[in-house]
Amino acid sequence: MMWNIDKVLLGAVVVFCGVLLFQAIDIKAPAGTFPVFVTATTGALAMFALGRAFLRPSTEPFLPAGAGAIVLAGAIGLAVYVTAMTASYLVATPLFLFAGYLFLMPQRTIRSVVLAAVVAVAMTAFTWLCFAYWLGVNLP
Amino acid sequence: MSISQSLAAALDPMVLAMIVLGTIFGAIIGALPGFSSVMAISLLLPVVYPLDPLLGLLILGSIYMGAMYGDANAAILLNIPGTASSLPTTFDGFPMTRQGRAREALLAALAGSVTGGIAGVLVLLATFGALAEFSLRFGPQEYFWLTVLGLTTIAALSSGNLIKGLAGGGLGIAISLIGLDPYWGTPRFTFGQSSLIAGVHLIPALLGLFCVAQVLSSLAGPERDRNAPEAGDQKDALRKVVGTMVRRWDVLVRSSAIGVLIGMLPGAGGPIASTISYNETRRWDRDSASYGKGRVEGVIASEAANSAMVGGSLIPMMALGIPGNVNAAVILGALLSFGLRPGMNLLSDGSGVAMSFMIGLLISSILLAPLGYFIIIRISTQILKIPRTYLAPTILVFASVGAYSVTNSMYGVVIMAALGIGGFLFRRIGLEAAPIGLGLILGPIAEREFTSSLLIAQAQGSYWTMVLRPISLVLIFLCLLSIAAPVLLALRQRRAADGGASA
Repeated sequence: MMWNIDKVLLGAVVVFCGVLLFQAIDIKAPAGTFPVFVTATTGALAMFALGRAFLRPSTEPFLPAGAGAIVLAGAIGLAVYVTAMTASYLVATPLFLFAGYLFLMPQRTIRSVVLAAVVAVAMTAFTWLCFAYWLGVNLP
Repeated sequence: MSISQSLAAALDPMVLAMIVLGTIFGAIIGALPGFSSVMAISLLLPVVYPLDPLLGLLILGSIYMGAMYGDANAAILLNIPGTASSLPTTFDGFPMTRQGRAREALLAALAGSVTGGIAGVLVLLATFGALAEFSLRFGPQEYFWLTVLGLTTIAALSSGNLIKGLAGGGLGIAISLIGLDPYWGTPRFTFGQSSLIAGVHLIPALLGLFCVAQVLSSLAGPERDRNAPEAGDQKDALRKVVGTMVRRWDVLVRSSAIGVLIGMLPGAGGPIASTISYNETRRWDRDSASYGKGRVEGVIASEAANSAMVGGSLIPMMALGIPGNVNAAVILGALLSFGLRPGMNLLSDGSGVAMSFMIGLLISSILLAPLGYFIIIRISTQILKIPRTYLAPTILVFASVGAYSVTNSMYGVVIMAALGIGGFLFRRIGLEAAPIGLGLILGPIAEREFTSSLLIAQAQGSYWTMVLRPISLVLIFLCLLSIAAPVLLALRQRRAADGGASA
């Protein structure tokens, strides 16, 4: 699995730098010189690393056994939370925290679930007080 | 602003309260295995962003100081170094815990951290003015090469994979190019997205790279046993540590000097300082064989160097704008976000921020002694028991709301999430977050100075003026040395290992 993701990510860096380089060439000098140099050099370095990944493929797993599901859930959970936060911070945050605590809990008992709910509400209140009340941020 | 006014500003009750809170917060995050000082600093960036620059910088500086001490607790009590910097602390700290001398080891770490921290800040206070004045001789050409020297830190941060490290640094610079072209003022690399015209905001980007990616990495790792033993009730611990400090003052002086000097070198951060300091202390000791079995000098040496490195790493950052390590780079990011520029400007802008900041850091390193003795050591065993269950989601929420608060829109949160998930994936293939973050911070400065140098060169009719200036030549030599040194060191270690294996 490692070799695939390794190459895909390095390939993505090459493509990203290529796209920027293509646009940077059109920027008139002297403003275009630095972006051209940076994107060309970075793209070349990424291509070199990609070539090395093909020649000497890594045998290490991308993630330790059993960790993939937790990390994927973490990344998806974050994406869902970021989307839900636009609706209401005070609703999305305790739900995200409670779900996160429950998901990562090694053993669920009634006591630990109640504690998770209390901590989720308390942390939401703390962050709201800190940012919305103290720092005056208009949270959604 | 005079020194007395700077002192008064640093001794303001509100500022003192923030120094205390910052130091404790840093020590708590530093004590948690896997959560680094750079994460602690990044996490509080959005909180300090709307504050007064002095208050904000002092909170970040105090967190840095506290975190460098906090990581010793896990190293001593659990044999898990909070960060790589405290690895040598485990060599003698954990054996001391097993011998029932945990309290003595914790106090030794505190004593070393306080002494090293104070020494580092005193050197910063003594040298900053002279170095900043010297920087007045620098033109755009020198500043460009100075930024390149800062970027060569990547070579040391790449841990054996220079190509990927440099590619990561380049990627960071490339991301920093998104937004308005600073010369023509036209949008570039925005892909038609109006929200990208303002560029990739530094603080959400750093939150993503150093907090979100770190949390996801911690989820990928195994949950370690966090049943830390109690520090114990060793009545004579303080007397023993003070006795050792008086008897072995040479360890404190040598380790602090090593920490400051290593801290000043780009990229050569805490792990190198503490390891060299530990090795030198052992080498200079007549009973070197007893190290690794519970020698209190070993703990003091490692922690003194580790904390002295804080002041050392801030010297080139404040005077020249080159961060000594990633922590200093993030503080440099905060400095730039406040609209301040490193160098003589910091001293001569009349705000007195630089002097008050350094005095505040000195207060933070002094306050670490009572805070550590009465609060941090007492609660460190409890902190180490906080399970990952509660930490990971809470940090993600704090980072998200922080990213939102900086931009006052979901744009910051999206940047944070994208760079966090991307940073985690890149980290898994060896493209570390530190080079990308360094590129993001130093990229805009490098571009500005490069373009100015280019314009001067065009006006003078020769591109050689970008290179053939005395200070530029010295800086180019240092850049080459900075890149070559870790490569040569790795080759030497590999040869030594091959030689050992064949023998």
